[in-house]
Amino acid sequence: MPVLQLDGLTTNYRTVRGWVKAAEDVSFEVEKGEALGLVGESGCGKTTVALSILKILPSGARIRHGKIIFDGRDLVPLSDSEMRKIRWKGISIVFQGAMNALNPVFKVGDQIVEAIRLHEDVSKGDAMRRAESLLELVGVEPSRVNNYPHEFSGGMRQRALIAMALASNPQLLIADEPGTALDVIVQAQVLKLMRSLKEKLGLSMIMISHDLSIVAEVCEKVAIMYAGHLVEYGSIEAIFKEPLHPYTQGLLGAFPGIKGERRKLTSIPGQPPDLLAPPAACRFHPRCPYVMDICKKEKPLLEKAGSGDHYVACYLY
Amino acid sequence: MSENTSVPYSLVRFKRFFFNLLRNKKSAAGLTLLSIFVFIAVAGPLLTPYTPLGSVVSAQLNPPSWIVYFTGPLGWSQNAEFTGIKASSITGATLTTTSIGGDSASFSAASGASGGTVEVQKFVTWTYPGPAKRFVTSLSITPGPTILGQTVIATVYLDRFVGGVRDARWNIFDKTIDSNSTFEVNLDSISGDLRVRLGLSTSNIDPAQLIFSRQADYAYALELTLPPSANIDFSLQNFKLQIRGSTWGWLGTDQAGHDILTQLIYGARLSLIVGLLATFIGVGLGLVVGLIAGYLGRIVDEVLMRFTDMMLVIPGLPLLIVLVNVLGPSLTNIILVLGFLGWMGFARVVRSQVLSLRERPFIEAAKASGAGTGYITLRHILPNVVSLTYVNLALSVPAAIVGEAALSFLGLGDQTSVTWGRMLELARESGGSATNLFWWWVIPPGIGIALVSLSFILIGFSLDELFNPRLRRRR
Amino acid sequence: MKRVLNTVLLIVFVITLNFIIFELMPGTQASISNLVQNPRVFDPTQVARLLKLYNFCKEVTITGPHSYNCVPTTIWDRFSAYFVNMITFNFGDSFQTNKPVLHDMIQTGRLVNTLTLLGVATTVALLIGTLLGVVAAAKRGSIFDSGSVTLSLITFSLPTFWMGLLFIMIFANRLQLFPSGGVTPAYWAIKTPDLLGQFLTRVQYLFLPALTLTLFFYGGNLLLTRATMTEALSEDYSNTGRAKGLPERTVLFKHALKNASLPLVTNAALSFGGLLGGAIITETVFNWDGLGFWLFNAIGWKDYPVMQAMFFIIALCVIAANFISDIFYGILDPRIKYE
Repeated sequence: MPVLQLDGLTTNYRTVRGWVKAAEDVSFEVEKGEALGLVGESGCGKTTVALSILKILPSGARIRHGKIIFDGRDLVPLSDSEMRKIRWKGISIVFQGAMNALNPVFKVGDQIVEAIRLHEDVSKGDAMRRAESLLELVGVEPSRVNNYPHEFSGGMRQRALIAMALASNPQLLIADEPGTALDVIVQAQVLKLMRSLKEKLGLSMIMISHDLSIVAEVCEKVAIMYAGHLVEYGSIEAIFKEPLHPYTQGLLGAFPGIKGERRKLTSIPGQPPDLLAPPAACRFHPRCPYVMDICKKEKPLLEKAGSGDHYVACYLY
Repeated sequence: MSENTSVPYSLVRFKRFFFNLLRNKKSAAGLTLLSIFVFIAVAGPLLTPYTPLGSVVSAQLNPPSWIVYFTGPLGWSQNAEFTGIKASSITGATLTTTSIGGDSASFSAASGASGGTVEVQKFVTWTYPGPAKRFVTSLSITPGPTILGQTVIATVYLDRFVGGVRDARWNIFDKTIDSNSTFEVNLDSISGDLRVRLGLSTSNIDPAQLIFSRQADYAYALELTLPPSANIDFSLQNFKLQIRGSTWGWLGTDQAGHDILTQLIYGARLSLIVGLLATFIGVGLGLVVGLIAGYLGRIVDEVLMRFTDMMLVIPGLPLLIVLVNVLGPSLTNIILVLGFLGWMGFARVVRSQVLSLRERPFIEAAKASGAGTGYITLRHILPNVVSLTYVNLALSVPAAIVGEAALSFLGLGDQTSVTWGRMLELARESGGSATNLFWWWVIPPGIGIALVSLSFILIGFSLDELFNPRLRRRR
Repeated sequence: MKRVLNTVLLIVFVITLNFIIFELMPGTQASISNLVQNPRVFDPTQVARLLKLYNFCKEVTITGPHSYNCVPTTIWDRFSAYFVNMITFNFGDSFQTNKPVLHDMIQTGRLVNTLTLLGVATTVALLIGTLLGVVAAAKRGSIFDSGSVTLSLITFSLPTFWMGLLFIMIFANRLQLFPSGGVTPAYWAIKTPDLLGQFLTRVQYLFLPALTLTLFFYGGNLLLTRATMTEALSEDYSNTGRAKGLPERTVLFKHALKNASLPLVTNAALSFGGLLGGAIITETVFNWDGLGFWLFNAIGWKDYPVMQAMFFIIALCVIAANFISDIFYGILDPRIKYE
């Protein structure tokens, strides 16, 4: 049984000018011990999916359809107090470390302790000791529990966030752009850490990134999102070897691999669509080099294609 | 703000800007409100026939006339005036009128052997359910020279007629005339003499309340009793009696019977002038200080900003009080002081904007092409802080208006002019104590201040939104 | 250290400003001289004392009931004497009572009265403003939000004294719920009730002025809290808090508010001067016998010693408030380190 199963998740934001269709009909599964990469341009709805899973969407945003089945239970109808028990203990999240994901006015240790004591009945001292060992686990000097976030470097902050996310032994870890905005070496270290943690702790993971190559470092499966739609979904090998959706092909062309053969970088022409009034049917059609009439009329469904565990939403296949 | 703009003032841009401003609901409301006030301020004297502190329009402390819609008409009255002058002979005299009409009459009266009496009257029909509050009369009598050596008794009466029959008569004045010089009869019902004469000295009833208390016809009459066989010319001027009711106009009257609406209209003018001028001074100073500090930097910046910070810490109102007190409470001084104390915040804003602008490529380019400091400041930096200026102008006016009102309220206003603040001061002072506050006097100036403030705040906020794209997006 | 130096510099600046205003402006000397012509208020000995106190004259000889001879001093002499007088709180005698200004300020209970009014109003305004601001930010876009924003904009733009007058008209004159002014009822001079009765009556007298001052102050606080809270709630740490499973209340009042309170502390100190201005007006409206009402009366009397003292003391209070807020800021924000 998968740890997490998304079934037709649709989340919209209400704005003055109407509903923003941030995520529409998103379905995927994460098996135990497996890592899924969620990839797309910024603003494509990746973070919305993450926030929907934890149900910490900003006010004005609403899950309109779909199921989020975690550990055999649908989270969508749960009340906030029930949800609070699932957060962190069941599913925890690592935000981008370069931003203010750690509260600047509290000590790092206290923030980890807060997370521990929220879900477990342990003394302050025990929790603090656990915070120290968590920091050690992610490669931060344990004595730095008494430091404030501004006394940490960007990489250390990202590590501390990971440590905090592990505080209550979650079954599923969501990592939202980990290491982004850090320099390349630190980023590589963070990714390495994630991979080793996953292996050591047998974590299930969703890793959100705009960069396919980063995801490839850690994940077994990838889901590609474009303008709120899931366009391609499959094992990392399948997608790298045989990218089917024109958008995925574009994405692969747009980033240099950390390893892998040298390629000419190509960019996808055109602009990401305005989600207030997205293009009808296939949302990629205005930018697609292989656009057909049907692409403008009917939304393509995610269907099995190619070899192995590989799905794509495109009329080309 | 695009980086190649150095001329922000083209007409097209202004039009587009203005259009944007009107499209925003908030600023449209603000502009509408403000234009109403500006109209009132500009057209002031055309909107009201009275002067704010000169014309006594009715009895003192009258509530507005529309109060009857809330309390019912019972007990209330309005102003009335006697009209329809008429001269007649009563007994033993013949009257030859040379001219009569309006407030004046000229006639000659000839009496018979046993003397005679002539009478000049004006009439009014008192239709209000409540009694009058006060009346004022005027009359000047000029007898002809034939009076010399004779005596004429002049008596002024108020007569009440019910069903055409006189049922009451009050003698409010009499005098024996024996010279041909003009004499005046100016009576005010509030005066002690008249109260004593009518036996009301011990009560606090005004004679007007006693006399004009029934819905009936009244006559204001001058009787001249002539000696036997006399023939005397009389010329009457200003033969008037104004009855002042217990309600007045749209907004009632103050302690002295002045029209509050008139004061409000004139107050709008002064309050706007004070607010705008003080703001112009403050914003101008802030602009200059901010530009100099920001552009010259270094020691100049350090000194100017240190001084700005110090001025910011000094408590505003006490300094205002002290300065106005020392300089003297004239309108000019108040405007100057308000202006000179209102530049600090804006100077800081301008300075930081200039500091960020200084790093921009187009300034670098201008510098590289050999432009001087003054030229760069005027030509490139100034246009880019103009938007800040607009916003600050709009948001500073309410502070200045309220500041002036506060000063006036504390008795430091210009004693010769009527601003909204001074109206409130007068409203509070007149009662002597706080238990004598009159809503029709207290509420309108406050609403005036609040609405003008509101209009500027609305405009300022929307300007801010228009100029500040971050805010615009967040909406 | 730099902070202390800054504060000292500010105090010197205030004294200098005070000196310039009162001593160099035309009128002060003249009006003191004029007092010689008014023996009802002043006898020449007192005028002489005053002239010496402010160091107008090196030597004063009284030559008659309404005249004196004066050997004038230099500006620098006057300034140094003035400076010493100010920092030693030697403000001279009030023109109204001929008693030392400090006596009139403290022994008459004025200081306590003002502190009571300010203390109550500030506390309530800060509490309500912050609380409503937090809730408004949390429920951004709701009816509650727009309602409280509109209301605070309104109270913000209404002049304080007008609100006070309205309250007197409605609550004191019409509904007769509260007295229209004063600190204590007049009959206390004859017979003072028991402590509970005293307390209740005092609360009754305090209510309207405190309400006015609270309304004057809470709006700005609410708007600022709402703005900074909105900012803080959109930061990632608020999301982290929620994701941890913290109740919304904890996210709001612990994580977001501590961050949002930083600008609030600065603003509270900066607006302290404005608050004192509001107190002057409120006290005047309600005949609340505190420092503000005293200053108002001093204006009418041209009581320069009192005006100077009040200006100086109010400025000192504001400077102190800024100093304290700086320290608070340091405690609240670990990113700021003091040497």
